[in-house]
Amino acid sequence: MRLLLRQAVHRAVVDGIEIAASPDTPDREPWLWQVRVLDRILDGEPVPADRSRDRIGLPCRGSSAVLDVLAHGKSITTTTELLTVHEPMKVTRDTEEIAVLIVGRQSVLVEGRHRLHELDALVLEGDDPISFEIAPGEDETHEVPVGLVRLRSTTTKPISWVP
Amino acid sequence: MFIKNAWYVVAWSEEVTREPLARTVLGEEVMLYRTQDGKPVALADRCAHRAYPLSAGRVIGDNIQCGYHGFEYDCSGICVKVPAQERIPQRAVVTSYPVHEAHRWVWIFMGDAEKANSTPVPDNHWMTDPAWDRVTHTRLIESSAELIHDNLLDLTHESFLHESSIGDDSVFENGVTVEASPGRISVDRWMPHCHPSPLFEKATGLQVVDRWHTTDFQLPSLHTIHAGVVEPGGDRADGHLLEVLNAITPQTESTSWYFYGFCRNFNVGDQDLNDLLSTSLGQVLDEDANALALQQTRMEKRPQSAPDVLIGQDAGVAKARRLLAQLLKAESEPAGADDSASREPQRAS
Repeated sequence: MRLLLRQAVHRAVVDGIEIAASPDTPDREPWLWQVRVLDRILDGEPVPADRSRDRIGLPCRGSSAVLDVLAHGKSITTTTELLTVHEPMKVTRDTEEIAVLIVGRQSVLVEGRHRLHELDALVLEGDDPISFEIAPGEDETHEVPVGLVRLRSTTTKPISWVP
Repeated sequence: MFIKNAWYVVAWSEEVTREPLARTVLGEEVMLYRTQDGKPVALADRCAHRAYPLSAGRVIGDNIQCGYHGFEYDCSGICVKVPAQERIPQRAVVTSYPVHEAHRWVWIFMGDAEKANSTPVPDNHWMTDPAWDRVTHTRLIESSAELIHDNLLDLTHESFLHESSIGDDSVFENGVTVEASPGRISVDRWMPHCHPSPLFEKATGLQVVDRWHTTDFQLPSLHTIHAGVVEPGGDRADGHLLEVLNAITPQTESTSWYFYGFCRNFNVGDQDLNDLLSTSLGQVLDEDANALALQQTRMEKRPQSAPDVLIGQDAGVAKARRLLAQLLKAESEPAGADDSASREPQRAS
């Protein structure tokens, strides 16, 4: 399943936006993970003992924001990386993995048909697609920064997600 | 609670005549009629005098006369005649609602009238485009509008509820691409190299096709399903195309109007096909109506501790629910004057 979220529909949170979370509706399922883009790192924001955190810089919003991933440490492992897209590149994910792409400055074209602009996000879940191409958007002359978050279950039970 | 600052279909053009039409929309009683030059008018269906329904009165010229004591209101809802006295009370006004008529649908705006002009009316031109043919239906569904939105955003139900007509396994076997943008949710399903649905096979004679349907939900009222089939490997634009219009208008919190138009760009003018589609799609709507009514009653009895168990295919459902909640919240936040106050017509002093 592909879920394409335009920048204007992200939920506002303190100092930033929530791109995706599981669950994203309170009191539905046990809390598992949350992906946010923050304008700044909140000084001294505590991380609860049962949670892990990944953070990388994501050039966007006119400066450098922070791609912030919180996860339930015993259930979910996360990896977060910054792709620099200057030519078409292939990204592969496992079927057991949820991938979240967030575009920094400028735009990209995913699978030749989904145009993503700054802070647009694409969440990929389930068995389709497992590999996809990302290319710089038309007219992009610079490298396009794209945050890529991978979420996996720590157990044999595959991770799934309902937005 | 309803989202009011939006256009909703209130009636088919042919339903609005020189005879008053009563209709409940968004929990409010409304009456409609046409002026002498054919313009539709929508007023609150309650005489300011003693709350008698204006729809039980008669149209006189461009005015509506209450059938109880003869108060007469013009198209803007202002009382212009009280038979029993010369003086017309200042408060003798009823709410008038902006209306817009296009391509066989009459739309109504129940919210802040000043926002009506700047709120776009969704496109439904396929209903009158001569290059397209269509069949239509209307249903009053015994469920909330939200359940119908869920139904249209998760079309995997076609495989089970409508397996003899528009559904088969290809629907649930193929994943979806969901796109959420302000005011809009689309759910696209591409079904390569499969059989058409049973009804489509009967209608087109095609055996193996590439097939798709994309529900384009323009919040909060219209789902346009862009669908079709094409020979495997062909271009979507060259296919047998459908535009299925589903206008959902809450009647009450637990009942909804469903205005349906199934438009196609092939076999235009084929009356036999129209008859087949009209009968089959009427049955499809009845199946939906029955299922939705059952869901509504079960949900009303369901404990709060047992919310829906959503799955990946429900991505569009989940996102639409959130955007609808955001729209409702935005309208309910205090932003100035009461909606009804700004809508009430002002009598010239």
